[in-house]
Amino acid sequence: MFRRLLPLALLLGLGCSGMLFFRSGEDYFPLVRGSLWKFLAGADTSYFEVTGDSSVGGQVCTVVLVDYAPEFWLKRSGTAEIRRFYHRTLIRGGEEYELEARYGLRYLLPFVEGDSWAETFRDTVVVLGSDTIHYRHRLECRVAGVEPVSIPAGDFEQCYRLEFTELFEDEDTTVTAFTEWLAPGVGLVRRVSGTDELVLADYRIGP
Amino acid sequence: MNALLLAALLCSGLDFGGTVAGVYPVGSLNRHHGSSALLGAAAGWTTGAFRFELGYGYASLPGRQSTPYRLSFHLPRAGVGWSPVRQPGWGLEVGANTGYAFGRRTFGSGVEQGNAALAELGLIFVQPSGRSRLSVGFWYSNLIENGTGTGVVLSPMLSLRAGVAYVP
Repeated sequence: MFRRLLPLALLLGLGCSGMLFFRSGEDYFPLVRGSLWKFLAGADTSYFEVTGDSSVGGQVCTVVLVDYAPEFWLKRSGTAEIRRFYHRTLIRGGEEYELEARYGLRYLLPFVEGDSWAETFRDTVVVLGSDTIHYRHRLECRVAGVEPVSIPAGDFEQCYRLEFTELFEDEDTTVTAFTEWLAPGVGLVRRVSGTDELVLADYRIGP
Repeated sequence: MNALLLAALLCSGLDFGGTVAGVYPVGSLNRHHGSSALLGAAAGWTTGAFRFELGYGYASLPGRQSTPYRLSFHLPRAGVGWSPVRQPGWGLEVGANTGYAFGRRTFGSGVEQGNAALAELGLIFVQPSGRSRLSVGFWYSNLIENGTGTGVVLSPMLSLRAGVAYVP
């Protein structure tokens, strides 16, 4: 009976659009130990690799080596947030002052087109005993769309396009806008920031 | 006269009522979604060992996190059941449904909508009693999507479905 009904359901399915339920169940940011992503940035090659767990900032986190430099990420089951450890310092008079050392919100799962999030961190740091620096770090993101991406690693369907704006303010203010495309089961496949572009050339999820 | 007879014959096996179910996403949907209740209604017509049913259900799955995320869907369906075991006062029925899912995801200011085909298989315990028909069934449902590049994708769910129907 199921065999008779399945073709009918498939026929109905052909008329379907959206792949809503498919996207609902996919992991758009797999942080699986042993995963490796090879990116092309112009003529350069960049490697992202999940190497394992560590303890940073009082939290058990996942270590991602980005061109052999460690990044620390929090992705816990049961929470919607994916956070990255930000550590920013300022050197004045030969001394290093810590402006920020915390896990900042990067992604809010699951992605739904039109959703947005933002997080602001503020602190006041006194340097050289008398100068006060008002530090601010703000990250905004909007889930701008769902679209296919064709890159050297292949053609990826149902990718979310995320538009970020990141502001760092201490003595100077730096605002960066960048866009990321995340593919189901793969994660980051493309990032564009101004004229810089990072595209996935090869990848392996898991060991 | 013939029309009256036909109407009487048709109505003789008719029943209609409500259903309530617990829906448990399995497979990929289980990653981000918790279980939920499904509320619905159904109308059936029984002839011999077969029962034909038209039904509708609505469920809204919460996210696994304490966030306002929801995946809601309307499920109109049509199906047929066959009773291999029929005893006085109870019976067992094997059912198969097909239908459509009209889905909607919401999270913060985000909204997505989409459709999928529905295919279901169920094993149901039935207890007719006077003018009522009670049923408790275990159903395996699949939401079927077909996308460019992804091919046919199944999103399975399990449900424990109970129904009570009035038999005129």
